[in-house]
Amino acid sequence: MMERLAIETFDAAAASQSGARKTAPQMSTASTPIARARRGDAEGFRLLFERYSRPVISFVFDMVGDRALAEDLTQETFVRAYRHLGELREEEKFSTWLFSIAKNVAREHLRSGERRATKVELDDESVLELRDGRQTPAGELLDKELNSVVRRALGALDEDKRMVFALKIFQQRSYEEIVEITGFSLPKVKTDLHRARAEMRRRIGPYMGVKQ
Amino acid sequence: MMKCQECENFLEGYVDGELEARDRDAVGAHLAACALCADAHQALVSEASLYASYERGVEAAAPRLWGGVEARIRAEKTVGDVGLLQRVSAWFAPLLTAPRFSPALTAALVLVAVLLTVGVMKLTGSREQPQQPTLATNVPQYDPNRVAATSPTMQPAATSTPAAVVAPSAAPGASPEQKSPQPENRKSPSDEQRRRANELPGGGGRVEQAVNATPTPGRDSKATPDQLVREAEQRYIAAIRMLERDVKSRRSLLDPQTAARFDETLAAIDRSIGETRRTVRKHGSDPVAVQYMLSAYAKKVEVLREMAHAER
Repeated sequence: MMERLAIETFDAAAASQSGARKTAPQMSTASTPIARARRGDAEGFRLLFERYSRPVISFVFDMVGDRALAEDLTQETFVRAYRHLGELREEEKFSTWLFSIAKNVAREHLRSGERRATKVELDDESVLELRDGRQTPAGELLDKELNSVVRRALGALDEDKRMVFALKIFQQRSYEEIVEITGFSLPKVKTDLHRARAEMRRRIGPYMGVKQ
Repeated sequence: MMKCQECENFLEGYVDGELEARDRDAVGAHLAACALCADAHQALVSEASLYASYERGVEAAAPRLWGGVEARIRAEKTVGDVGLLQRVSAWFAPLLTAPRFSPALTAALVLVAVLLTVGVMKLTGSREQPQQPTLATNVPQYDPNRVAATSPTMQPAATSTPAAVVAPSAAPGASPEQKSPQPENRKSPSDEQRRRANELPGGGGRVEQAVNATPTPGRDSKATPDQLVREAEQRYIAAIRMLERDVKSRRSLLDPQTAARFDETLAAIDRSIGETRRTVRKHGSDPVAVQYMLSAYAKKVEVLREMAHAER
């Protein structure tokens, strides 16, 4: 959510989050950091990095589940973006384009054989520690434990579901944007998202006090 | 009134803000009237709230990654060079297609080009004259019509390269007796084997040999500027062929995007070569056109070299 808000603000899209994005006035094309970066202005690209590096590293971390690796892959994402900035056709789609690069970088790594996606089992020790029959309301969960449970539950999803879930739930991307970033069809995005939600609910539900 | 099953199907889209106005209104009306569906909706909202509070602990590291990104961007020399080459090729291509130069500029350029060409040729000939005194008879006659008819672009020109132009530098030990009976533009098996052996990866300096191949003695005094130009062109083509083999064998080691960028640059250079060659064929005595054509070949050699040494 925070990532999305940051991007929205940066793009001068709108004060409100949804809907207004498409109708919001654009910055002067000559003065945007994207335009500056495309002209070879290093400061323009640094501004882009400042604005997008947090959501990108969050997304990459959700995909690979390793902090150091997420840092490396985030750097790789921005280096590739710099190389191919000239190929970006619509400036207003920069963040979607950037996330598609991040997706490619993360997927390439996951499929390179150097590392397999870590899947957590339902009876994972850390999860069992929390699952003692209590129906703890979400607001009462300790942040640390909650983060650990969410991270492990996310890691248990298969790659496609994890990607779609992260883009929708954490990055607040629209279905249309997810289709553009992932290259999946809209029905697949919806199906994967629905199944990912169900799986996450199954793992986290006991600690949320919600129906599974 | 929407049924519960229908509402359930729409509920996630409703929470995600992805429904059309008509469906959104229908779901809203149903939720106001159905406690069960309202509970389900509330559960989804609670989930969203929980996920919104999820913290990974990695975001704070993001700003300090800029140093690494900046360093890598600065190290992207290859990309910068490729961009430069594209700009260079884009710069001189229009000059060649311009209808005419001003008389003064043309005269000045012609004078400079002629002086440079003659000077370089004399210097090269005087340095390397003693090395290969016996191959003059094997220099094939270049047939511009044949090349022009079959090769508007670089690659066909390469396929029509007479091997004997490569052979003098590739097989310096060959005797005139071995070579002279061979028909022009035809290679004996031994010549071919020697040539291939010299083109194996690791055959250091063979590109330089091809490009800087020694003009044969006796020929310098007889060769016309036109022949010299053709010979230089053939040497570049020979070097390019060698480098292309190296690049082909190493291509799998390149990052696909980097390889694609190189390909784009090479395609741009090939277009320049094609244009300049046509100009040279049309106005064979125009030294400016010759200079541009040879520059384009040199650029191709340079880019192929970079590509052959580029790392993933």
